[in-house]
Amino acid sequence: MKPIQFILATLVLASGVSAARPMIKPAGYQVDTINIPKEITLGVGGMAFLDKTTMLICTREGEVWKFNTGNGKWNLYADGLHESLGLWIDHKKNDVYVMQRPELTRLVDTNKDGKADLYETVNAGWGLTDNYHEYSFGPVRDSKGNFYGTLNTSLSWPGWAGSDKWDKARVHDSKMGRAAKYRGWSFQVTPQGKFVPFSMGMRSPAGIVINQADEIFYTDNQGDWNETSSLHHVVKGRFHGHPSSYFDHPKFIGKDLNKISIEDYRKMRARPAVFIPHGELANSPGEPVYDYTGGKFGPFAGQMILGDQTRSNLMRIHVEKVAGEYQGMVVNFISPMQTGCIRGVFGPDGSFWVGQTGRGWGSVGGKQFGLERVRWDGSTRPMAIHHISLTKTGFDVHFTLPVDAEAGLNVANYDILEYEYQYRPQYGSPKSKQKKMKPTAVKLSKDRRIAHLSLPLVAEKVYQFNLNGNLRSYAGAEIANRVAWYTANRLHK
Amino acid sequence: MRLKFFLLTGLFTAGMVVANPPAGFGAPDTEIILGTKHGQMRFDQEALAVQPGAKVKLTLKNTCEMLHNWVLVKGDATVRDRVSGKALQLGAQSMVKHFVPDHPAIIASSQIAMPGKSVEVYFKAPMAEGDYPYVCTLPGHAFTMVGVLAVSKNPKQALARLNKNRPRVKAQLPLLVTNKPLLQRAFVQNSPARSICVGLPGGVNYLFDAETCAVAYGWTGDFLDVGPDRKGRGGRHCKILGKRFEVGSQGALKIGNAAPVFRGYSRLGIPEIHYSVGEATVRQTVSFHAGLVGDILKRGLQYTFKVTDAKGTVTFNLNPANVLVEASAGKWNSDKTALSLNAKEASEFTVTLLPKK
Repeated sequence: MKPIQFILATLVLASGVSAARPMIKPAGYQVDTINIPKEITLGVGGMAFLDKTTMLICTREGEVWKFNTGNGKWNLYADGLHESLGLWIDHKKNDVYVMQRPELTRLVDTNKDGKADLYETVNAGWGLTDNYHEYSFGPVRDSKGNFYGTLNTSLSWPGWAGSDKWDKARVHDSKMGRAAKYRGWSFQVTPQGKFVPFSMGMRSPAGIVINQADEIFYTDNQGDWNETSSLHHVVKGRFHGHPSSYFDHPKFIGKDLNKISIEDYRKMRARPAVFIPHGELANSPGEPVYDYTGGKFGPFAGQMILGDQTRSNLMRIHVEKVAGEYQGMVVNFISPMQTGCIRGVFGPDGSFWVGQTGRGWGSVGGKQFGLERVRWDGSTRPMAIHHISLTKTGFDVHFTLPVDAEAGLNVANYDILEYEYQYRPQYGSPKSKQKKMKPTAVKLSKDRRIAHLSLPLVAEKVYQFNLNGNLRSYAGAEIANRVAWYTANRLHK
Repeated sequence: MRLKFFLLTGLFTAGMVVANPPAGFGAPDTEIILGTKHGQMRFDQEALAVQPGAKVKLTLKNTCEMLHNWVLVKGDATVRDRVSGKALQLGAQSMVKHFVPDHPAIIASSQIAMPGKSVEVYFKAPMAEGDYPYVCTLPGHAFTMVGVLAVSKNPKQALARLNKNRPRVKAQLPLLVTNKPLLQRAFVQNSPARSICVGLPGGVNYLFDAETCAVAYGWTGDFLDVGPDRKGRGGRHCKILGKRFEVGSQGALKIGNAAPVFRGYSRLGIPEIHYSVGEATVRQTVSFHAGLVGDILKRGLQYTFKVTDAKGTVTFNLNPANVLVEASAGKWNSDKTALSLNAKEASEFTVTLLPKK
């Protein structure tokens, strides 16, 4: 028992030292900072639990560490990898699958000494140059045994890349291009090890997740052809928006991609399920993680928790199907953490472990890397926007607790901004066609947990909800994060 | 004046040999204990200093699992390498002569120190002030198991000078090989995107291209600077820290017309790289190789190939312009650009490569 008591003591101490941080967090949540031994550089790239107490963490530095969450001990499991940015564990065999830049690799400990000794190439079906932006992300695996990953575009504009050797397939003078095969694609690796190009149009797809229904989502970073950071639903054959990847599409091989107009690309692309406003919420989103804890992590079960590498915050995302496609809401959750949040994993106890890296770009908090844990106390129900749903006549704002009746019924407490982004080859997009609105009417559900807002609706808009500080729980608790965004690509028919 | 205290006892038994001071030597006035760095092929001191004419008792303490000796030479590093090269030619005489060749430059030498044992050597230091290289002349050790003995009227100062002038690794974030091979996949200057760098104890390294499934080149000296890729945003190429040599690579083993497919590697022992060519499976290890080019000892690479399920001829292709090559099996064509092996020969064979320059 002693080592466990010791690590608990250090955890408490560490979080005690940074008592003022994070500034924003819902009641009942606590953030612990894990002490990392001096010898370890832990630019986190991927995380997964091997068993109840052993977490595997792969890093930008190409190492895979075994971290014992019980006694705080670190052991090296594998090294020498080329920028490992994700891992997945086959719990039946205890094999570890790790995504490196050049390939998806299976790590096997054949002599059972606790360290991988066989590094087996599962697939290396994509192209790779020495362009530093050609990251490989993933893997996730579906219930049929297929792996999925995403491939970053190349930094192709010579003005930034410092050479013209990667200047290939830049479309309408955008910055990112395609210097090698399948850059900007997602891919599938079948159980037989076959590489299948899956969907296309990704720019900087740093986070990928699969849900219990085998549905895949990925996040993209703001940039050329990506008006703001975003969450996308991956469907085979889908075009997500960045055109350089058309270079490898069988129907477009040999075609001049510059002859296709921006408007035509706009029509061809599937809109993101959720726009994540740049500068306000996220600049470089990492990996979305489904809360499948069944309530062990608080009242947000079934939603996605998403970290951001630049702003070092955690967000919550709730998606719903409207007219056959996913769209939904994003809201801040906890901010700021100690440094950039890129990866996450739920532990068996329902706490959320956050893998962090500044990665040289700089992150709020300033540390170069780190590991933190978010815990819910198991009883406190914070006052928060649980989620927002589109209705036929407006929106339902769902609260975690009954809202104060008088404030909840006052339309003046609901400031809404309707706007849109411009899909374009330039870097990002400002908010355009902004329109300030109030709901035309508000009704509360019987339990006062839902505010039914009436509002004229337009498809392909973003609705930003700025809730007034007067909106409190029945007992007077403030809402922890009062601004939420809903991406209304489609309306109910 | 050349003093030789190489004693042929005829009763060569592991570690039991105690070399007494030779008759007339008298009591030593300087005692040195020289150790080895476990498994790293390094002496624990690479600079020593004594007074001119000092009567030295040097104890070589071998803490490794391999054999070592100690040979002091008059001359520069080139002379030292000639002595090491000559040691390689002792052949059957090697053990009897403790890997110490007859060479006029040798001032003093020890017997072989067996693993975990010590040997002593008594010698009178030269009267002439100067730097005298020392080396372990066991095969493959002579590149990294080296040092310099300064003979000086001010040994303290001389030692400080040697230590100050010892080459330092100039790197942002060096990966350095000690007693185990290191493997790092990375972008390296002027190298393929799917590069695998391997550093071997003994100061020889190679880069394997997982795309073409062949060793692209080797280098001697220190391993790799990963700083350019890991500091800040990174993205710059890692640098090899030593001197590159060419191996005349012409790609993977050719077996039929199928293209090679990289399958990974095992890291039990020295890395064993796996690839397939059609139905055939190739396992290749690359190890340290030392050999003579002219009379100079050089570092190179030895490939050990194990090919299974090959149907038909297996061919190892080579550009022999810059390398001396030997194979343990198979038949070379006339200009030594292709080694052909049948399936049985290919089941296990070695190719050794030494850079000519």
